Amino acid sequence: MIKASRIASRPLDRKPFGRQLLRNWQLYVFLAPAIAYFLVFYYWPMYGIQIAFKNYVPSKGFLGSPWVGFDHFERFFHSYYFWDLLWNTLSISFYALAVGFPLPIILALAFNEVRNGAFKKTVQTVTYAPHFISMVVMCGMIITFLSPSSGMIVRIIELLGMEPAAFLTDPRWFKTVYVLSEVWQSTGWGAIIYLAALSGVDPQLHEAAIVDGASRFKRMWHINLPAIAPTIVILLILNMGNILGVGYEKILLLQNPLNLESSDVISTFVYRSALINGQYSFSTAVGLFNSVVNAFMLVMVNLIAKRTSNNSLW
Amino acid sequence: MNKTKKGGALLLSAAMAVALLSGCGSTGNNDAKGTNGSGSGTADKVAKEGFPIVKEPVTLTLTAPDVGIQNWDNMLVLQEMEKLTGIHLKFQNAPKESFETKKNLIFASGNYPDIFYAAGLTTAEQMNYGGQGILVPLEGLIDNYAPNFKKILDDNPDIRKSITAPDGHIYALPVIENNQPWYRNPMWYNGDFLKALHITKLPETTEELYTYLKRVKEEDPNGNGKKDEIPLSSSPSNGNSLRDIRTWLLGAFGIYEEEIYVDDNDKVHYTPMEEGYKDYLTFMNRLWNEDLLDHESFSQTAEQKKAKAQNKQVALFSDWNAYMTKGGEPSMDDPMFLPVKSDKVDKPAIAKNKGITPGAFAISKTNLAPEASMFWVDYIYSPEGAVLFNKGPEGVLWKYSDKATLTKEYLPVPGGGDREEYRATITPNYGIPAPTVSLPETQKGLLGEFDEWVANETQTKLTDNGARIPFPTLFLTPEEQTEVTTMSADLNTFVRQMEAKFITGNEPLANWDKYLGTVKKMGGDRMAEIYQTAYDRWKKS
Repeated sequence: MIKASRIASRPLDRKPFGRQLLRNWQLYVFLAPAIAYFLVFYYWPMYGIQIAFKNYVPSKGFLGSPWVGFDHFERFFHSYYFWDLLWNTLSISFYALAVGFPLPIILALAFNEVRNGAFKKTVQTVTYAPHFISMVVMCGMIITFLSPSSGMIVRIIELLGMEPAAFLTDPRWFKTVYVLSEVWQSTGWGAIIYLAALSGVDPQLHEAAIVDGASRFKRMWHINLPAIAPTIVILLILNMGNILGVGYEKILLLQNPLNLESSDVISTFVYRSALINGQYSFSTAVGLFNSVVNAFMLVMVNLIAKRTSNNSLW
Repeated sequence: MNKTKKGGALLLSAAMAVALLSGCGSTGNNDAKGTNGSGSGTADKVAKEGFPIVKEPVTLTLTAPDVGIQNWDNMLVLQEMEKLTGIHLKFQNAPKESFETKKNLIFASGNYPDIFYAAGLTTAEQMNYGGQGILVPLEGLIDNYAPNFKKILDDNPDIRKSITAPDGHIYALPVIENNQPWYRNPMWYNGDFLKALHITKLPETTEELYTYLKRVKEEDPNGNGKKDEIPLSSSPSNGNSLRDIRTWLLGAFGIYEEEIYVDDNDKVHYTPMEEGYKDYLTFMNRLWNEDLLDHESFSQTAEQKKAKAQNKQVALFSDWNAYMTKGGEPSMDDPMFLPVKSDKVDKPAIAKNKGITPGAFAISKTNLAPEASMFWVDYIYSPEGAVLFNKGPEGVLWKYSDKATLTKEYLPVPGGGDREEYRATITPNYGIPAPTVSLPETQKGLLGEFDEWVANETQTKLTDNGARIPFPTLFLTPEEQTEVTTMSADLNTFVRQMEAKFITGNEPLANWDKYLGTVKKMGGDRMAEIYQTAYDRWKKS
């Protein structure tokens, strides 16, 4: 007992790693599967990245294929679609972030104010249920709902006396369709984490504020929002790190030649060149470019967050 | 709140469990791949004649596209083959729709099946993976273990020429289909509409076609009092929009094929840069503007198109047979589309099936029993094997009415239902480019009135009108192939995108020259040049 409490009271005690490991070996055993998982599935595959600088020939393997330096990168930067791809990827990401990021926060704040338990639960379930629809089914629903001849949404718009747009074939509409369906699918789910953070707010703060005559909105603004601010910042940083990683399945499933000019993003381009055309090295190079930009964004946003709000990933 | 947290934790652990399980699954798979294919099949264990062809049972893995109608383990034809040959096959199939992806993954991963069946290996893939040694050269095996196929090659030197790679090896066996002249599925007129509008002579020019489609739009041939007719409808297949229509309408402007074709003077053309292609776009744009071409042609699914046709709305569409889209029984009242011509040409260009489709059967380097594998596939190229794979075993769907002349007759379909659908449950030879040879005796006695009618439509409308092969099956050199692959990725995307824009009017046809400039910059000229060189080489050899 005495020994245990001594350890607990001196968490910063720096011992050589080997002795620490020996003493807490049970904890490391618990950790081992996770480490193994990351090593095997995340770090080991990285050695394949070298083919971005090689001309990969399957029969020669990763190591045996000849080096070509930055040829594939140059080809990508000079390719006809480079700027379109970059613009689409960035604009879809930022559009989705600008619309999709604040909504779960607002929803969570609103849920937190609802006192009627049954109503709250029902609405919450309804809002996060779409999260469980698989992407393929989701896209099938979008295409069916927006079909110009039989789509439900198109019919409703017509009933309201408006002229429906060609949502799936007009390139100007693609990004909006993508973002709004994303909102439908993920807002409720995204609110859960904020609700969890909100549950940690000390009720005494609210009681004190009520005594002082603070309105409901004032309490939301001055108590709830600051309480979840760290969560918001961390999630924002994580989201920024994924800025070029727009979910390709959904885009791929909604793509057609008519909306291609606004729907073709880096990840769908990688899919086409690798799995349809079999240009593994080239598509690895494009994918690597994507990841490097992502990593750069993550570091930058983290830096800004650290300077301005003292919240950061590391 | 607590409940939410708990729920979250539960979900998280469930997700982790799933991740762990899937991890296990994939490793398990690898193990399996490591151990199979261990059937010992050295040459001396293979009988050179007669059946079964192996003295000890051999297990081989096979990868093929699957149309998803029947588990291949349960197919009568394949069970029959196992009994006959002693070779047990383990199927590692992938759905037909995503097979191209799967194929590329297989080659990239290094886990090869022993046999590629109906994998549609392009000449480029054969040369690339054959040159790397992943696919085994077959010519030696053909000479020793494939008497039936060897005979076909000896009788048809052209076939040998078309399937031999520039390095002199044969890496894959083809589909040999000489009885079917269709380049792709034909288009069909809805006969009810023709009757309602009292049309006795099918349109022969683009103008007549336009007039007919216009009448369909305006004169309510389905008689429901509404102008809900959709004169011409199309749906993308494998992401390629309009191909079903393009195949037959390009000919009106003198173009044989959507990408590469050779004209009567041995000059190779790259279609997207042709003047005739511009005329095609202009014509289609006109159909689009007047609502004669279904405005959902770029986004609808095949099912949506069929639903419209079964709702009696569509006048002209593409399918294997008209009834498959229109619904109902096979009908001789829905005539085949007669290729039309514009005033720029004397006669329509009509593409004819090449007769051979490359890449139907290949053997990988991990196959320990290549001789037995070759013997197995050779049976398919024999008269009995062709019947077995095309019609199923005797006594199921057919029986001999006169065995001496190989004349057959149909038996009633077990359990009723559609004959073709039942056939799909007993043989893999359905909807995929499976290795086979078409012999007249296979069909002997089995052709019904409807088949005769279709054959006659094909003869009078396509063959007699000068249908010919647009471009021979040939191999590029590795250098040429690399250049084409590099260029065509962006080029194809651009061309298909611009086609859609020109037709729908998002891009005015006045910008044709700008489009030409971009295509040229992306390598359109080189495409024609490369294929011209390859064609000249093929012609000389």
